[in-house]
Amino acid sequence: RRWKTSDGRSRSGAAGGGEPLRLRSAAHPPAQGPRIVRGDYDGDIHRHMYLQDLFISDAEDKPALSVSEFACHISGCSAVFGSLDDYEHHYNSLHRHVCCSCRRSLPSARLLDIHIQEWHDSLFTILTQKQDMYLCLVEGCGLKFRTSIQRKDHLIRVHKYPPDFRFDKNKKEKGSPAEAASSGGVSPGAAGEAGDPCAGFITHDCGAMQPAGPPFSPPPGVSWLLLLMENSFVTQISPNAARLRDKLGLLRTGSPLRHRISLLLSSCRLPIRHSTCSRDPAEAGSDRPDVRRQCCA
Amino acid sequence: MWRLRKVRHKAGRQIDSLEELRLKRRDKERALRQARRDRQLVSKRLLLNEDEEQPDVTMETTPGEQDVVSLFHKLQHSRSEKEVHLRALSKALRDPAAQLAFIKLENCMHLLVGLLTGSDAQCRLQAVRCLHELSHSPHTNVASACLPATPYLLTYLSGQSTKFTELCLYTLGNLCPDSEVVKEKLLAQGIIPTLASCLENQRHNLAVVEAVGFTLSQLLQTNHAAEKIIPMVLTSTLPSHLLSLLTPDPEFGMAPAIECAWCLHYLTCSTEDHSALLAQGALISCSSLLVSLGGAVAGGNKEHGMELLIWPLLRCVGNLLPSCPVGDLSSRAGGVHLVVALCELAHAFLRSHVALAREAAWVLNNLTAHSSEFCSALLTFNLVPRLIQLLPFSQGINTMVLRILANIAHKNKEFCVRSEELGALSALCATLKMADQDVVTLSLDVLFMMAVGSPQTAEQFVRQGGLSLLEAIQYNSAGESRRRASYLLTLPTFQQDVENMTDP
Repeated sequence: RRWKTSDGRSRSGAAGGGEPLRLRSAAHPPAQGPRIVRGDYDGDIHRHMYLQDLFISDAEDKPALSVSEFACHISGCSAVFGSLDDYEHHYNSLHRHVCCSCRRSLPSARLLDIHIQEWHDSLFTILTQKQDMYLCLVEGCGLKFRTSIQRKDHLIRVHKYPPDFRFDKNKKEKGSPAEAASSGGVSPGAAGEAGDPCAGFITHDCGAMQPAGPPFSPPPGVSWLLLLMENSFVTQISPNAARLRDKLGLLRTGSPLRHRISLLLSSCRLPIRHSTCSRDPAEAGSDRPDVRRQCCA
Repeated sequence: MWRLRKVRHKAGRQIDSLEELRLKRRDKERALRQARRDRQLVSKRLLLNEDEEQPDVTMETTPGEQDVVSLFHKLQHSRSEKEVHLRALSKALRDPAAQLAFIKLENCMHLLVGLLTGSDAQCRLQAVRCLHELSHSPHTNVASACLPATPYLLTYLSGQSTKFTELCLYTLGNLCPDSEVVKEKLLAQGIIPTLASCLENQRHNLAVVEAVGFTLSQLLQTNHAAEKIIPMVLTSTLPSHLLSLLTPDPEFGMAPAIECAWCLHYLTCSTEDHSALLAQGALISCSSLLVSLGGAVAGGNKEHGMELLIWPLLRCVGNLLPSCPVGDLSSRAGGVHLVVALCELAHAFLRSHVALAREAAWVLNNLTAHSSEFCSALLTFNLVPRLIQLLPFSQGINTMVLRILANIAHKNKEFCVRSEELGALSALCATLKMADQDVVTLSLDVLFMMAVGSPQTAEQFVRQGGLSLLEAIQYNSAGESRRRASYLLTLPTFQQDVENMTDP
């Protein structure tokens, strides 16, 4: 089966069906030959060492066998690792549950949800004035509190959290640009209130985001979506994309909107930053606040 | 004659300590690598005297240049004891400075040739030994000085005295690479047909076989050999003799087979037209020997220096394969069992000679590039897990293995369907995370073919969190890997699964 490259030319499946490679010997420079790979001619060196009576069969002085490194593929993160386990640990610790608005990394999906809800959802802020909204951080407890201070007390008294647990907001963080850009410009919370309850879990800030490189010409039919994604800053993978998927169930099969959300999910499960994406509420069905919280497409 | 030994010392010097030897080796290796880069890789061999062959025998200190001059005069003027003087002269000529001094002497070569062709057999032997020492000189002008002797050396190759023939051969072999003039003269004097008939007549005498192999290999490595020498050799009887002498003799050792194999390698790699060699069964000879060597290695019988034989065989097979029509590839290669041997060799030499392991994988790549029969063989012999074990290793190992997997995925549906079971899918999920972009690109190729070949595999990939990996590559990589990831994500087979998947 053939596939097209971005410029439309056909190629057969690269290595499968590719030309076998030729190897040349030491003394004969190839007229038109394969690229000479460094180390290709170790065999010739070995032979000549033997001819010159310098042959030692024991594998002393041999360089250690080298192993391919793993590299974190998240934009802006240049960490490399010697083993897959180290890589996975890094990724799971630092990149898996990251808020797309403020780029904080949280240790679990649940804490990420709580963080987003309490920090980046204007509806939440409105509701706190009327009812208990601050959820206990301990899974299974289920209790809610009117203020985050009350919740903090609860965590210390009942769940034995240390009193000096990092409940407070990180002073370097000035507040995410998303807050300013969101409609209504609702401030994160009442003044004097203890800050992000999940702050204690902040582990890493991933650094500058880069756009993903020069645009390429995509297959027809999805150009609007991909152009959009090309031009936006894409951050981290969020498990909250599942919520958007739930949306699909409400739409009838074959509807253009369903198709577009489906495409969005399959090719972009990464939320798009508020400041740069289109904000047409009708498109994304943003009558549901949870959808708006995660992805504003 | 040589036997492979654990450690070799150059006779005539104090025994070097192991550390000194190691340092010397390292320096020499560096020099060879530089020479290789400059395409000047040349070696000479020195045949030791019987009394020098014991490594623990120390030679008395070599006489200096002055002795060479005085010995020469003695030889010119005295009628008796020529053999004694010649013997002393040959020892004196071990020293490079003495070599230079000797060739400056007027009529020196005339004298030696006279003794070489004289009626005294012992003098002949010592005279050729002197020439042999001279041929080993690091100074190229010494070789030119030896030219008058070469027609006689060639004539003597049809003689029956083993030691004498060996010395003639190694002397000629040492002289070949030194200058174009020497090489042209030797060709004009008919060195190639002479070597051919020597090999034919002396094939039972493995020491001579080794010497012929060495000399021929020297000729084949000279500059511009492809223009004249290679065609002449290919039309001679040499290739068929070389092929018949490939199997190592258990008593004598591998050395003659090693020389023959390297000659065959220089022949195959220098030309694109392999029809003559293929017609003489080069592919099947090399393949079947690799199969038996692979079997020996698998059985724990990894002989000292075996890689010196395996290396040229791998290269011959790998370079001959592109010239082979795909249809009868397996019959020409002597059956599909070769793939088992190649896997064994790749694993066995991974730590001691990674380049050899890579070349074994390269041969596998060439076998599987066009032939579904060989691709199926890898599955039948359950070699896919063995190949996957090689994926962590860099220096060209994992990229070559990924090419092989891509070849198999391209031609073999069963592989695509059984990818998860074989461990290929999870292996790919790991290689997709590697830093080397070539590895990532090739992994995407394999993934593409697996996903196209089997929708269930695509589904399994998605279930293992593959889509997020692809997206990350799409947005954070550049060039080829990015293009491939993007295209993969638009495949219908990945689209459908979106609605069924659960969050990681």
